[in-house]
Amino acid sequence: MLWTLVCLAVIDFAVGRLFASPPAGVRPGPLQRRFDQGRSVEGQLARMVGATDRSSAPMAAAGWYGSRPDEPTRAAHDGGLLVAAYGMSTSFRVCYAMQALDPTLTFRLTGGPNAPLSHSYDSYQKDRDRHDADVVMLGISAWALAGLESMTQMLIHFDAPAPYTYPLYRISDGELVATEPLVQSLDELRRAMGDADRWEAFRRQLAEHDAYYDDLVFRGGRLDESTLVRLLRRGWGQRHIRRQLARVHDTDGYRPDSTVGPVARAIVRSFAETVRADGRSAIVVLFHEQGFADHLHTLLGPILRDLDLAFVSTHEIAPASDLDSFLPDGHFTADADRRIARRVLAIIEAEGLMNTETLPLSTSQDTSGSGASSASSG
Amino acid sequence: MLFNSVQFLLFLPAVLAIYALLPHRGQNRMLLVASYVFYGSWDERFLFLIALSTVVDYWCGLTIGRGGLTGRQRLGASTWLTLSALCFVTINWSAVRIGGADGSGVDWAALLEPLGVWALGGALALVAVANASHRLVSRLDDDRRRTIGLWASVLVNLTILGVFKYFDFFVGSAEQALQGMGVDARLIRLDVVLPVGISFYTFQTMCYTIDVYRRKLPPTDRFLDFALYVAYFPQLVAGPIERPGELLPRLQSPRRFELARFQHGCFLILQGLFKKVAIADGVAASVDSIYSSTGTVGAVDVAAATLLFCLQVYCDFSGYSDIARGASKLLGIDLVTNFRAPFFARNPAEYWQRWHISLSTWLRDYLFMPLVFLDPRRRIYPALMITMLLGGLWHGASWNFVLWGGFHGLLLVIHAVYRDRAPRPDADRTGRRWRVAAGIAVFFAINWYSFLLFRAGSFAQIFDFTATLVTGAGGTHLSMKLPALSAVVGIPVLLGLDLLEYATGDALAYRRLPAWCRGALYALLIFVFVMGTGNEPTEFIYFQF
Repeated sequence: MLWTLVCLAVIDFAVGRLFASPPAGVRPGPLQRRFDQGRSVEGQLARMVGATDRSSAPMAAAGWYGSRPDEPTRAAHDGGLLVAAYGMSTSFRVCYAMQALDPTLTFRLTGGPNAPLSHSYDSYQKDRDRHDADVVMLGISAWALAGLESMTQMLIHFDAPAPYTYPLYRISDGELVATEPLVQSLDELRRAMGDADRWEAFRRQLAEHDAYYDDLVFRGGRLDESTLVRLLRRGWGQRHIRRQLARVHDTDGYRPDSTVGPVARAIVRSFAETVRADGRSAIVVLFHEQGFADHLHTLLGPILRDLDLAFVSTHEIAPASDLDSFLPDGHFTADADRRIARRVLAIIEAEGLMNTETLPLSTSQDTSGSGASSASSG
Repeated sequence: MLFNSVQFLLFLPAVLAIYALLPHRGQNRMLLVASYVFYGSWDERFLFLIALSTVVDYWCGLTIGRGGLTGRQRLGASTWLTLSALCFVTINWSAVRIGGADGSGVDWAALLEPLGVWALGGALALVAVANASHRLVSRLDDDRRRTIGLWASVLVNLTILGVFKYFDFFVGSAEQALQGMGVDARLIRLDVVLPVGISFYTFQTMCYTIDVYRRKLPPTDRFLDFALYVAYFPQLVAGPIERPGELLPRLQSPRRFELARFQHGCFLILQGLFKKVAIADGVAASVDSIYSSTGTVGAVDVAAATLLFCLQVYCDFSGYSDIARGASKLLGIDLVTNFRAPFFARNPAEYWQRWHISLSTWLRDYLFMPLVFLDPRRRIYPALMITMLLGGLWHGASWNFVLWGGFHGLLLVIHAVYRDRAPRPDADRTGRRWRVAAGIAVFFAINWYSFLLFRAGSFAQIFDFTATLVTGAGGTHLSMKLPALSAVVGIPVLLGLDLLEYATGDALAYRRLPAWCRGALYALLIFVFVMGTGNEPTEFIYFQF
């Protein structure tokens, strides 16, 4: 027993030293990252949030509204289109593919890592008066939909937390009601971290409203320095997150008893009304990651059709069960991105927004040649 | 309640604590309750099947071995079956609200499950028939009475297995066959959920009656001890399949605390958790990424995923057996060894002496041997094939399992033919070692392919993946999801442990290591296990069997 404890302490110490996180500014290796996982959320925030934006890790700045101030507000080319896209990296990659297919397009990208629909919707509400986009593209990730029960990505992704926040929506008396987070920018986060009362209030808000909050995972301390404790905390945290996710989604799809479906539908409805009131065209892209089959399409397809909203669902273009569609990090491959981009461009063309002369030949061919198009144009 | 769940982590110490305070009889009763709670945590309705199997085999055992039951024994068994039907399938307990916000009470309209009422009626009818015919049966001559007892047990157990495990499979296969002949048939399907561990406990109860019939074992008079033998929670859902001649006497005699046994139990639990959580769960996503992919996968992907699946099944199943044996050792009851470094086998015969030993010996004693002795010419090859085909079917109601069993049957036949005819090689010690190593490598490669048959989701996938392997399609591109770090670190540790067992021929060889070395081994297992706690947990593969 004694030898076991001694050896455990030696392994703990040795792994901690061998795979210690590098100093700030140096990118950690995969093993350093792996053995650092399970550090408390507070511990990770303390490392990533510096005294200034420049001294903070890029991940700390990602996702806050306004964190990309240089995004264009009008089309860069005469006669070209400005597409304002809201979503996450997956939808940004499709935008880049669209731009490669049609360089006359200009994109205004707003989003965050693994951003859920609530973040994208809130971003559009804040952003709608700040640009002249003709088309608004809303990317919805099947995986990230569970984030509708959260207020920040630092809990649901506690292994690599992105601290940006967004409102928590719920339906009350048939209306979409938002609970705004107490912290809404990196600067506010920094100030809260330096003020015990403010931080406690924020923590309490998360504990009360965010389904993925867990005290053991959130609170930091000296035990963060032990590799074994970090590994244990990671196991515990993963278990907690999996349990919460299982309430939202299982192998058959999104659970009907979860609040995620009704809230997602209400957000999509409100988004459609707002975009139309703004005189713009909207396109929704439903991204199905591995393990999600066509579940997002099943959940949101009917309301999108009811609302006569144009949408593309990736499940027929790059099936979630086809390993060839995905990169090891879970993103779609460049080829899959291109195929999705062609479908979106085809819809923009069908909406009559695009100068068809600028469309690359391959796009038109792809559109005309598709017998079982998953694109449903309103 | 999975062995690798937090619930079990609380359940086992609680059971141990109460167990330590009770006398022998009390321990057995408590273990029986704990076993029913353990099994009922999946679905309490299927406890009725366990109770049915228990009562039928207890009754048949006494009918065969003693000529009948006493009035008290009949009353006890009849009451047990009736109460089980009432409590586990007839009453809808969710209709009974106690202390709810809307007040206590019973929703009388929803109190009885319609199907459960039928089950209760069936149980009452069975009890009535058994009691009414008891006097008649007990007056029959010895041979006829014994034969009736045996067949009643086999019939009931195989019916349970047939209805819950194989009915829909055979109906589906018949439908497909008819459709192949141009007949659009729609046959009745039961669409029942497969009760966890049904194949294990039905085999275990059946072999009790068969052993009593063969006069290898006296029937037990104590109903509750027999009920515990059937439902004993450490090995209830995935074995090892225990022989009544070994487990029943251990349950019926008082246990003494032994530190060495307790320590070994703790080590087995740790080793089992390490295998299951760090390795089996750590490679599961990699295997699934290939076997569940609808896109094209290359030869390297298929080869790697199948190799990882070998390790997944081994760690999953032997991990379960380790935890089962470990938990039982903590209670002072030894269970049989189920695995002995199986991937070091040199030929199929040796493999089946190392892999799922409790099933292979069961099949040998209760299927293969009777088949050989029933055949007037004592031919072993057809008996081997039939045994392995049925052994494959035992694993699951799917043709790929039958194919897997057939593949192993063929290997056994080829090996038996070769062994009988090949001259004894005469080589020096070094030559023998090389031959052993080559034998292990060659048989592993052959056996590796059999795991493709085991894992494949359909015959189409078997053909597709086999063709991919043969043609080498897809080149060296690897698109498989990489295994978790806990598996990457854990696999060499596992190989080291198995090599130690293989080289010494002793599963307890680790105990002869110096104290610091043992401490390092335990610490390493704990560390890698903790690394694996972040892996997506999967249900034990053999639960579905």
